[in-house]
Amino acid sequence: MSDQNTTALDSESNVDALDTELSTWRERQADAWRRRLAFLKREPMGLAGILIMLAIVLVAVFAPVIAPYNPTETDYGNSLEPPTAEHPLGTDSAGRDIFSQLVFGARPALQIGLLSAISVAFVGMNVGLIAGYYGGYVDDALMRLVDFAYGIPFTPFIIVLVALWEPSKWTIVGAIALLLWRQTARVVRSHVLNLKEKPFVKSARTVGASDRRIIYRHIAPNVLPLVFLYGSFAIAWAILTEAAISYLGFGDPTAVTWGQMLQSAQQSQALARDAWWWFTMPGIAIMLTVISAFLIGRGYEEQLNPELQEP
Amino acid sequence: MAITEQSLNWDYDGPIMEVTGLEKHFPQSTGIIHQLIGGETSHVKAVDGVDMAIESGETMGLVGESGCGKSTLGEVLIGLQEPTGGSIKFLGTELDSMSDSQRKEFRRNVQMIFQDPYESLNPRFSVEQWIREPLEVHDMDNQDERIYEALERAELTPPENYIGEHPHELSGGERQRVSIARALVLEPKFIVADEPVSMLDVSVRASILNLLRDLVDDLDMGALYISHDLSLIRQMCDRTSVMYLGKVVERGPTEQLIKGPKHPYARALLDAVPVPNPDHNISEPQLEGEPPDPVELPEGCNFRPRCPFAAEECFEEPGLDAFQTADGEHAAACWRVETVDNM
Repeated sequence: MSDQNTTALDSESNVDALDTELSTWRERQADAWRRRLAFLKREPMGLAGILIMLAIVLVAVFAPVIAPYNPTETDYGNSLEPPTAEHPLGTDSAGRDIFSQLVFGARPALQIGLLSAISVAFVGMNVGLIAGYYGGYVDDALMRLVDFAYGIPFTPFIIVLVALWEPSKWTIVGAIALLLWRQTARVVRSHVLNLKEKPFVKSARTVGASDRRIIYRHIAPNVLPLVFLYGSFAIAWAILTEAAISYLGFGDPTAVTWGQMLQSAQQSQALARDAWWWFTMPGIAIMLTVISAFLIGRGYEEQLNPELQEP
Repeated sequence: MAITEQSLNWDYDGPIMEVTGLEKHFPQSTGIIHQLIGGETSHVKAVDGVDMAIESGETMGLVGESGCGKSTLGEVLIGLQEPTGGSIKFLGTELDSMSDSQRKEFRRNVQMIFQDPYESLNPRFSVEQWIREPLEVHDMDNQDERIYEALERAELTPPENYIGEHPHELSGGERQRVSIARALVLEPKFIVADEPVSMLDVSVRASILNLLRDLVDDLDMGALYISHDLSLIRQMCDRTSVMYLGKVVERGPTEQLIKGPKHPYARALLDAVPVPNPDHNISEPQLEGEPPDPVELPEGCNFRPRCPFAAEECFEEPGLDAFQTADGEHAAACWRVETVDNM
């Protein structure tokens, strides 16, 4: 049968029409994006989260411009000064400017948050996809690994890792990547179990699509919003974890992070010395960042799951 | 075209799709204790020894109530599920013995149209991406032109109004046309349509059915049309097989079968078709009870427990040759055809 691969074609004008149409539908795709972002109007809390996050990102990017002082520069003559015009948020016991530290602290916070989110999303999504799609022994093995990851207590695990490696933000990202994928993997897997039975997956198999194609072209895009959701929660967890670990004294002592600020405030007994500006400010910064990540995740979740929306 | 060794035998003049003794048994999961004490695994016999041959250009109808295994049969035929017994031959070549390239050729030439137009399109693909995918998988040339042509064939005209759409922007009928276009874009030689209109509005059913019938004629495909609706089968199919509990119990030319069903089950199915006449005398339903548990089938004829005509001989299983017309075209797996005919 030689005419298997040749098609009786219509006139060329049809092909031209197709070309012009291909470009107009690309424009339509841009419209689709606009529609996808329209949820922000309906989700004021989500919008607030995005605005706060955006502000923090801007602060982190332009930190050297915004910060009036070098955050590590000591000035023992001006130690523990309350907020003044010169030091808008006061200074710590070594005379370092709190506001500048706060501004520079946004950088590691966002780095840790984003890197953790990406690694959690990447590992969790792939484990979930492969376990759910292949099932059987693959599924059993991967899910036992998830159970194992659930069995490890988070904070002690990180402390051990810090002892093994070195105290740095990368250790924290690594620890989060090693443990927090568990939840994403479980949720993604359960969705894949459902998705892989859908007729559109059967349809893909019928046309001869490979497993890889089915997993990454057909199933993955349908779990991506979910992965994004858990990724945004991972941002919040990562920032909280960094603060907790630094506060416990397992962070990098030379780094300027919000957790490290809390740690040194605690060590210098800032509370007993009435230096409220020293520990409240990093606390507020951590809270704002974490809340904004949760608000974004939550707003997005309501979009994904209409049942959560008020009738 | 010179036929290379790897290619399927396109000059084969037998039935395009032929199955003999096809079986698909699903093991029932039993408890671990049951397995430990050496209990036997029981099986659901979804397809249990089906013989069927479909010619090019012919539409075979497959009717039966839900759960009789007709969808499973369709999926086994196109290679979506592995059979547990029997053989499937496409163009005379055994599916099991196909080389990788032949298998790929088989994949390209055997397609399926699914029942639910709301679930059978990937919501994240545009119409264009969805129809392009089979072409990408099989690395075909002139993709844009083929997409355009398939959309026109499926009567989604003008095609440029549809290629950018996503499934949620389309109606049920349009979605089903997209499915048809996707199945057609590879120019298959055999197609399985599994209840393609049962989820659609009655108003668009006719046009989809006409489209399918014309396509089978124009493209000289073989087709298996699965439905539980005999009136649709009558409109679509040249020949019809009636399936009950995994077995074909009656087969024949559609008109002949519908006018003179032989198997008591086929009679009951036909009696259940509503007649659009208010004065029509509704006969008492002949069928009582539910089909038996497919795990524990009755001894002998599967239909015996529900059959109003069951007799002694029905404890022995009838084959499809238990009754046959002289030309062999019309056959039923029933011992009692003659007796019942004379009643």
